[in-house]
Amino acid sequence: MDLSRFGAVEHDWTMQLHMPAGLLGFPEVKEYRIVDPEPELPVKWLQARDEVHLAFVITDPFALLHDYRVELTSLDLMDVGAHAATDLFLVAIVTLPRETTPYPTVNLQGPVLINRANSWAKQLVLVQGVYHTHHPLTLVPPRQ
Amino acid sequence: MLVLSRKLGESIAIDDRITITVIALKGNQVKLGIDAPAETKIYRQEVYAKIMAANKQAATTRQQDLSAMRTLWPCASHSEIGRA
Repeated sequence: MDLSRFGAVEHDWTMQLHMPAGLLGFPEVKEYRIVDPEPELPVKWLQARDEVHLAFVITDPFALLHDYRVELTSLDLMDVGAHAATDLFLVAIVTLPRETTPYPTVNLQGPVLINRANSWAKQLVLVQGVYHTHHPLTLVPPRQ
Repeated sequence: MLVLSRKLGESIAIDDRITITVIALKGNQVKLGIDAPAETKIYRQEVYAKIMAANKQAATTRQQDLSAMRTLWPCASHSEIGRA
């Protein structure tokens, strides 16, 4: 299924997101917004609308892995109120370096599916394939 | 939690569309057969737990990590992640 690329929607950040089921582990937080305070960085923020202290760093999984593939079921489409795949895109959550992993990683196993048409979103759980929750985020070396 | 006892070969029906059958018993392992519509997502609980743990680890506050991100991409100028 061909999902619209993250890059293609750069013009309409900031956007509101409604996640009926929340993110796994945060079921009670259903309203988010995507904000982009630093457009020069290849990441954006998934900020909980009503909880200042809850935010996630997100990035474009297709920029990281060109052949990244996600199979969507009719239930996935239904959960974000989509009739077709045209308005859908995916973002992946970044874990910034912590004591346990001193480098940033990207969760490619639990990407967030977003329906641009109605701003509904859900976190997918991928079981097929080889994607991990802590895929190393390779950084472009600084320009000389 | 609803607890049901089932013998080898016996089943549980859920919601008219899902049937779970005890296929085999071996030591402390139970082999279950699941019949469900194709769109039903069936996971081992560990997969959920893993993604939940990753989310909790990734949860942050913007103020806290904004400076960390600037350190990670000190010279970023619309460069894309992972592209050579």
